[in-house]
Amino acid sequence: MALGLLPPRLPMRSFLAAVYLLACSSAAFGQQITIMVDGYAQVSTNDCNSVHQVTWTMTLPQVQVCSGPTFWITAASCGDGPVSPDFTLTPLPLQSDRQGRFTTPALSQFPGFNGADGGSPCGGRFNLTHYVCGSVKYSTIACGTSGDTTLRAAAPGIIEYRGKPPDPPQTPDLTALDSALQVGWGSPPADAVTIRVYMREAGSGVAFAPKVDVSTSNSNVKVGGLQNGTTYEVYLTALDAAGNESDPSGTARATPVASAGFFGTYKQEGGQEQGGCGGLIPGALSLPLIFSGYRWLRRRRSCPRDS
Amino acid sequence: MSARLLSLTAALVAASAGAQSENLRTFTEPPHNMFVEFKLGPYKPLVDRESSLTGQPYQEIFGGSSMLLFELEFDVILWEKFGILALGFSGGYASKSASALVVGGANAGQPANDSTSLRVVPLRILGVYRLDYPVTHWNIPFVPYGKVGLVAEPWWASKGGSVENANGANGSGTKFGYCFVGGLALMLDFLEPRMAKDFTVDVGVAHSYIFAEYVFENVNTFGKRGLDLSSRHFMYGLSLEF
Repeated sequence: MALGLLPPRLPMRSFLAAVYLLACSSAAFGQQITIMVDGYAQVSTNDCNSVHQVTWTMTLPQVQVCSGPTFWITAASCGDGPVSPDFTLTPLPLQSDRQGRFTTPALSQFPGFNGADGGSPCGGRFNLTHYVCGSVKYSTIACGTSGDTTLRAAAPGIIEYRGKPPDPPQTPDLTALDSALQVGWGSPPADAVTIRVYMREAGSGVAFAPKVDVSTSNSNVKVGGLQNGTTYEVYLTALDAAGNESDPSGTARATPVASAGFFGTYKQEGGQEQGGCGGLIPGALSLPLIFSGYRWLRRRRSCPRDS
Repeated sequence: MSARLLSLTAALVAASAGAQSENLRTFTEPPHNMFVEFKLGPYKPLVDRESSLTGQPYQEIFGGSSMLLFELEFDVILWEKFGILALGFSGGYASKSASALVVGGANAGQPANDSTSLRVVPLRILGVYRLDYPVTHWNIPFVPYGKVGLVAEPWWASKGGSVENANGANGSGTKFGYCFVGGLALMLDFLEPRMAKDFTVDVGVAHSYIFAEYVFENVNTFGKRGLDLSSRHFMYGLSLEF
């Protein structure tokens, strides 16, 4: 039996994973459940209306199917069959079916998101893992006897709802540069994959605007194109892989300062250098001359001394 | 100081003459083809001597300290009779970094958070003459030498990680010039003649030397206006003769 998930509108939808598992309990007789999950994904609060494709296949040679196969979605462990409030996928397959395909309901209808069952609605700031399970009851003798066996998928499909955003980053550490600020954040929060830098001119009254997104593999970023002498306010947020954005960090302020490096100081003090290769042409012309001299000397050295 | 140098020289000569029962070049050597030199030295460009300057930018930014210049040189032997005549090629690298200076305001002239640097890559084509007569005829392990050549020196000045532009000028380019080099090399073979011969047979290194040399170079594109990367400095290193 095989199960597949295809979350087509998710941030990680391009990511395809395949997991194959053999159910060892029946391997000796050739019965096996193979679960294949396409598009294992983390989904965010923006994906509550998304639907997912599930495909399955099943191998059961030389046995009699007593009931099922049955497929369902649960927020708990899979077990041998669906229990309340699990969601059974329909239409139910025929006992003769060995492969098939389902389209799940919208994510918001998954178990665990139903208030009547004690769950919280999709979109809330919490994490919840859903499993797509499958099982079949068969017998190698006759159904209804002690030979009945339930075969279930040991590795279910997974849809991981990530509604809880990361903790906010620490207040940014700002370093004033020439027409720029260097923004540092030390260690990023757990689960964060991106740091988003928000900035505005201090006292301008305008809203903060996202300036740049940076991978958490970095610990700082240089934001350029700023006005020297103008004070800027900066705060950070952290984003996880599902796209959840944290609360803002504390706000820091800094003012870019004009500076002159070695060449700027040199020019300020009257240096005449214009850069480039002013003498490149005479330099290049001398090279063939030197090379010719080298060839001439080598030839003389290789000749017999009396020649 | 000079007395110490003389003592050291006398000791080396005595050691080379007395400790060796065999001449440095008594066994059959393979023909020599080239020298390879590895050298280091303090390099301080004479930027501040440019006549149009009203200040001393190198001194103000870098505090007047030198860069550490590393160079690698290959000398192809062209003629070997009374001494060795060779054509040399060398390339090197040196850099210096410091804080930029704040411009304007109450903190003008104070170190800024931006960093600034000057980097140079001196490239040379050299005519080289080594007077190895004392080694070959008197067993004195000193080889005086001289070099004269042309210099091309790409350079770039950066601030905050990128090339600095100022007053419409780009902070990078190439300067040209010439150089004279005088030096003295000490042949190391006399310290362990047997090992030196093994080195020759196994690796092909005929002789090895340590040396010190003085470099006099004018690298200002033959007097044109602009950045003056001329220098007078010593270099120290190891030389291998193949």
